[in-house]
Amino acid sequence: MPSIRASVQEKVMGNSQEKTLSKIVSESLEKLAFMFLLSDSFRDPIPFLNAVTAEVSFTGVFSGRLAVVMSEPALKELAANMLGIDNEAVEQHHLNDALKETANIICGNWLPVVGGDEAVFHIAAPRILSPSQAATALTGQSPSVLEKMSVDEEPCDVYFFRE
Amino acid sequence: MGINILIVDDSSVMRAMILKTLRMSGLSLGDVYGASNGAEGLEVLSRQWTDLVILDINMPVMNGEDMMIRMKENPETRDIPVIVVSTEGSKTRIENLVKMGAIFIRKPFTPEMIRDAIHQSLGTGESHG
Repeated sequence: MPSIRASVQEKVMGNSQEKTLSKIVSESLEKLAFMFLLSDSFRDPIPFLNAVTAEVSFTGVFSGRLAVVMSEPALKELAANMLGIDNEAVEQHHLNDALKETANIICGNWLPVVGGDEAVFHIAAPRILSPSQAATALTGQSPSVLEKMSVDEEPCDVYFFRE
Repeated sequence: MGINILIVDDSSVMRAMILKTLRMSGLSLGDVYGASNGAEGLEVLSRQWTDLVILDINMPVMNGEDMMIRMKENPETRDIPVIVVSTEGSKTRIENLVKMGAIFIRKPFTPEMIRDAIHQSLGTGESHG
């Protein structure tokens, strides 16, 4: 089975970055949690108060950060499926850990696509942002890429900032 | 007799997910141990018989590369197969790990990828690569 990176890298030149990031996000969540996300680009971004946000920053040939903002119902399903437990058994720390790991995996698969195979990046430990931290961090400057997606009508936004 | 496996990853969710994946893979499992960094992983190896290590790279305290170097320096642990499961994107870093004998799997992974890597590293079964 080809890696996510390999399958998208051949198409990156012909696709917009949004489509490429969308493919990485959807393939990551499919493998992690058997969740199927679709692009949902015509809606507004998720209000940060109604969601959980995880951010991962990186340095290397260029620096930046990637953030995943997900509604709580979608995140609950993500955590439950990742762990193989019932939704009712999911605890708050499961939600945070699942979203941090998901952000880390998306970032790890995205950077070689935008930076190239030989590029070396150091990815910092992912962290959860409070709604006010998320508002400051994600709306203070325009993202290089913002991909809005949904799963079962629950939204998930991915922000990428190249600095 | 099942395979004794040590999972070294700083994310508790990822350790649980790898365990879930192992259970789905159809492999005969023995004891499965967990550690949240390389130092804890070496500690587990010093007191538990382990057939295989599944190892993350980026972890606090001691990363996966350093743990693997320490394993190779110790006659007691140098022959234990290592499967590196990581989001690492650097070709050079991956090549260094493979030169040390690791099998590399990029996150996210499927149960089949884990099962095939385990068969390959233990020299058992048939890979469906």
